[in-house]
Amino acid sequence: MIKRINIEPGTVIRGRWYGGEYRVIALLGSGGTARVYLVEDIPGGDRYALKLSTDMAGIDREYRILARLGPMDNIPAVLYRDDCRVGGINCYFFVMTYFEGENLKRVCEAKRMQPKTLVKIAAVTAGICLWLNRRGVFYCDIKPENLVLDKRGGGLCLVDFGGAVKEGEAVVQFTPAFDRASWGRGQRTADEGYQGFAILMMLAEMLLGGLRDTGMGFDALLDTIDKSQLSKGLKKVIIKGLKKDCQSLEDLINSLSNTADLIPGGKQRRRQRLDVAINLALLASIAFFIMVIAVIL
Amino acid sequence: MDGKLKTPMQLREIIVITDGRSNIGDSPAGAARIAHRKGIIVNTIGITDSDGAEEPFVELDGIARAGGGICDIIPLPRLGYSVQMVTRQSIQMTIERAVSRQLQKITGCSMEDIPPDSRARVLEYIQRLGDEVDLKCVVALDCSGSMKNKIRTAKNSIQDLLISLKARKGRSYLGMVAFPGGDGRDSRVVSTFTDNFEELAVKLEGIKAGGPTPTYAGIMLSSRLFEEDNLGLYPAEMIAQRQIEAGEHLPQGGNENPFIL
Repeated sequence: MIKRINIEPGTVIRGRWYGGEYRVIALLGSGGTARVYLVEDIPGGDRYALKLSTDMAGIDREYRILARLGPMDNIPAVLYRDDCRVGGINCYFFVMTYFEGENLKRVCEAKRMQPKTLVKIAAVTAGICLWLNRRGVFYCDIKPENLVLDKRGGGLCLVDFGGAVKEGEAVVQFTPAFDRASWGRGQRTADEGYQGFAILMMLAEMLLGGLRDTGMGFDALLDTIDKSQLSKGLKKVIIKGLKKDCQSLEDLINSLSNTADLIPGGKQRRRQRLDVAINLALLASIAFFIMVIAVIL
Repeated sequence: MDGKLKTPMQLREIIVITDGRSNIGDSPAGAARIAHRKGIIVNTIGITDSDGAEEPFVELDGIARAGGGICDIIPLPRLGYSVQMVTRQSIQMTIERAVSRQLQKITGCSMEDIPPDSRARVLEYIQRLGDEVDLKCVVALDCSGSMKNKIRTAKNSIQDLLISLKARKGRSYLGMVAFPGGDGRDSRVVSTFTDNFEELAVKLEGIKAGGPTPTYAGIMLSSRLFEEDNLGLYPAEMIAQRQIEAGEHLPQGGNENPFIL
């Protein structure tokens, strides 16, 4: 159904019930059942991301999850939802904060990131997940495409909550490369072990690349990681984590933070500015999460 | 079709996976209509060689329409994802329709006519039901000659579907039909309903591609798998397997669907 929907830039999306009007600026991305557009509200002109789908239940679910979590720096805040008709088809949409920046997949493709930075990104991702878990939301579709480095805030943002579920529920949205069941390493259900596996796979993929084909099998995957150029400590953390079925995110954050400290990061003659900026932002985030965890516990 | 939701509820789905048009036997949409009248939802997935070439797949859209299901056209690498999405969305849609119909009866308006904020609670209920309902699903796989280099991916996708379904709260059973069935048969039961991953994997190994595309026969045999199951006197899986393989005439009538939409 979503394939038949085509919204040109300049089109105005009018809410059926609550009177909101948004002008489409560009298509930001499209998934299996939904599209995300960059829009500006009328008459204000503020920029937002608008997620539109023909799947009523899916849009409602995602909106409900985000609305319940409330505004937070690392996730989109929702501010409006409504129905609309596009080309004679009933559509459902909600409007959320727009994170201006690139997703981690594109960032990694564009430039070589320092291992230290990537390890910290993994630790912060685990921190965000842990924070969400404590609020009853298990984010499972963890992959570089779903993490955005926000240009303005400088922080790491988790987008696309279409795949978020409750603890123990079936994981409905996943990417095989980061899905433990696709590697034959456990069930496709939402728990910290599932998330830990995805985070470590994401880290390995960002560090090494070329690990997305699950056809190679789990043993070959471990072998590839083991034979790579990565430091011994880092290899050990990744391989041990991937092998162990159940792992708490807290342990993962600790071991990742410890590893990050051991990786030499300042020796490069010309450290790129982005790396420095990210490092600062991540340090702040890690401190924040350690604090949050300490408070919760 | 009296719109009643009876408990224990059980959803019945057929997923037809093919890469082309039916070229032998009756109209597949007709078979889908017959199945749908028995309370079975028929979904279709078409594998294209090039993205966007939907022309040969009008038939699949027609089958899904007649079967009350969903049609998805995708390139081969997306098959695994599609099989799961189609199954999940079909479950959701089936329940949504049933609830919506009840709503229409009681309040006179459909889900569309309720503002999103008020609709939320009903949708939440539908979603929970979708995860908790028992499911029986038959995958009807096109095993014609053109599928030769796609069979491996298809097998993996079917195994992967069972992994996903088993993560649901409700019980899930997967059955499997191949069309054509090899040795000159137009269709064959590869596996009766099972929730055993290893068992399914072994049975999937026996599938080989070759021959024409008798989609009608594939859908008919798939829906018969449910009928046999309805008798419930013996382990239904065993009877179905034995009788269908022996080509015996199947008893008709007297079977009440536990889930009528």
